[in-house]
Amino acid sequence: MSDLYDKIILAHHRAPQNRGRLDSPTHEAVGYNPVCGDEVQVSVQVADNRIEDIQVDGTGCALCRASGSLMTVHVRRATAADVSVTLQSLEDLLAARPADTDRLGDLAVFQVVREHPMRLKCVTLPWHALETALLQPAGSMRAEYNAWTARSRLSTGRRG
Amino acid sequence: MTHTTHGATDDGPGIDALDVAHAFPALAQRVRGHRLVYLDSASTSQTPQVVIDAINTAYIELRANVHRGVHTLSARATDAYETARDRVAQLVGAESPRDIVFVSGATAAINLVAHAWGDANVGAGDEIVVTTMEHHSNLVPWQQLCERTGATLRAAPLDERGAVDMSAYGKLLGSRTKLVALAHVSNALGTVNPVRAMVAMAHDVGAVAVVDGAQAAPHLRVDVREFGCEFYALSGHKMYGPTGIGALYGAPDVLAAMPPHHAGGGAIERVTLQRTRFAGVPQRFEPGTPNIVGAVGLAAALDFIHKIGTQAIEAHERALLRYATAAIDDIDQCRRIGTAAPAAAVCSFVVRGVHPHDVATILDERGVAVQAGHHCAQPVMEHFGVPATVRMSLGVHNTRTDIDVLIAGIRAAVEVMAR
Repeated sequence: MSDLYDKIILAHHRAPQNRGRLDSPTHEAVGYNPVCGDEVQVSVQVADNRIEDIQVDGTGCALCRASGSLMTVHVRRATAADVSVTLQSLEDLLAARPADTDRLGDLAVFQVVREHPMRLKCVTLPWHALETALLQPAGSMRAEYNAWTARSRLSTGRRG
Repeated sequence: MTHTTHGATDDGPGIDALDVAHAFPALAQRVRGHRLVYLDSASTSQTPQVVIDAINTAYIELRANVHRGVHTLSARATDAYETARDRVAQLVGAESPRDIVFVSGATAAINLVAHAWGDANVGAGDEIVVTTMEHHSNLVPWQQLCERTGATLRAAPLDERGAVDMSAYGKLLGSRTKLVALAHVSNALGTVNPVRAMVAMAHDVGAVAVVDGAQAAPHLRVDVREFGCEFYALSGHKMYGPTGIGALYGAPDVLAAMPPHHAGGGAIERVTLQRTRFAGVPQRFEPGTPNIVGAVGLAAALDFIHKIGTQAIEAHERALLRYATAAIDDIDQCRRIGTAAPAAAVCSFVVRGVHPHDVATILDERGVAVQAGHHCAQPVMEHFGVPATVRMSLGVHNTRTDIDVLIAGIRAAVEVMAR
């Protein structure tokens, strides 16, 4: 039915994991892409430098929802450094650079998005929001990540 | 391309859409294994072979500067450029080609008015009235003019169908109103505004009227003297012409009194190191070497439109839009955004449970090109309470089969993404 929306992505779009907002997060951020209207809210509870709990909310396309959902499963017990390294690997995968597929695990499903370069930012938005949240000291006000103004590491070169 | 006139056909009277489609070489390509179904003409249009040929010929036969030279090529280029100006004047119903300024597009045209007319005529305490349906290109220049001059911007609201609330518009107009800026056709909704009436109301309070015709000129008859507007802007790339060329119509007395905005060679009558006397109109507003080849391409596009006939185009697209909107209404999960009448060439909709980007991607997988997003009309999205819509927009080459493929794609999107 669709090359892009394979069964893993659809499963996470239809029944996203860890949806909502934590009551007392230590870190929070909203990531948005003003060009397409995707918005992701990430709330995290960090203890001993590790992510103990995380929830994702917001309005966004199926890729954004699925990516957010897979992210919440992937980052249990991760440190802020783990998140940044995984995001870098994810961007490498999306930009068709050599990527750490062991680290990515399930996230490797997003390589299908390479065929739709206009949708790459939908996949990385939740991760950028999470990374932005973790960059702030605990207890800070909700941080913001603007996908349009931020520098992108997703340049893939010209497509045929 | 042959112009065949039929009786009433499925594609509307007076046009053979398949014939017209063959005039566009781009439509022969496959996208992701499917025939390209191009339904994004409101964003930019496809280019007929005759326009491509005119541009190629221009690059071979009249590659010279205009107005400046003595030699043969320069005379040829000048003649072609000024003939193109003539064509635009004819298209919009201007009295003289002197009323037409070539610019890079409708956005540049509106910015030219905002600076050249606005800076000289608008001051603190004055008001500028726009509508809530404006494309950002007919909104932001006026915001900036207000910031520069201390004037106030007022926006006429829309009703629930996406038409301008005329009573509210009337109430916004007053003795302080210096300028009104309005779209002829909304790019996000397709709403056709009652331009003549709205311009008349602006004149009643002594305001000038600027009409954004970017979405109208490809689809409807334009008559600037009938509308009475002081300015009318159009873009070549929206009407089967090349990118980088557009035109601003200015009423002769208004243009004559307008100081130049950008300065440079070709816009002057006499230059010394200390002082410059500016040229007459429209040269005063065309400094530097213009987009000569673009103007020639635009003229070829206008000839293409003229050969089919504006009435035939209007009728064909009206019938096709009716067919499309009925089919979209037939899909349970679809809700049209913007249901005002009359409407031209555009249908925006949302699909319950499926984000516009996902609809557009699934359509793209089937070779169908539509736009998903805010369409550079964020106030419109806010009015309807949606972050984005899917927008399909018609060109003269579209057929019922194109719409059928679109509808099948929307139904597929619903099936794939349903939660």
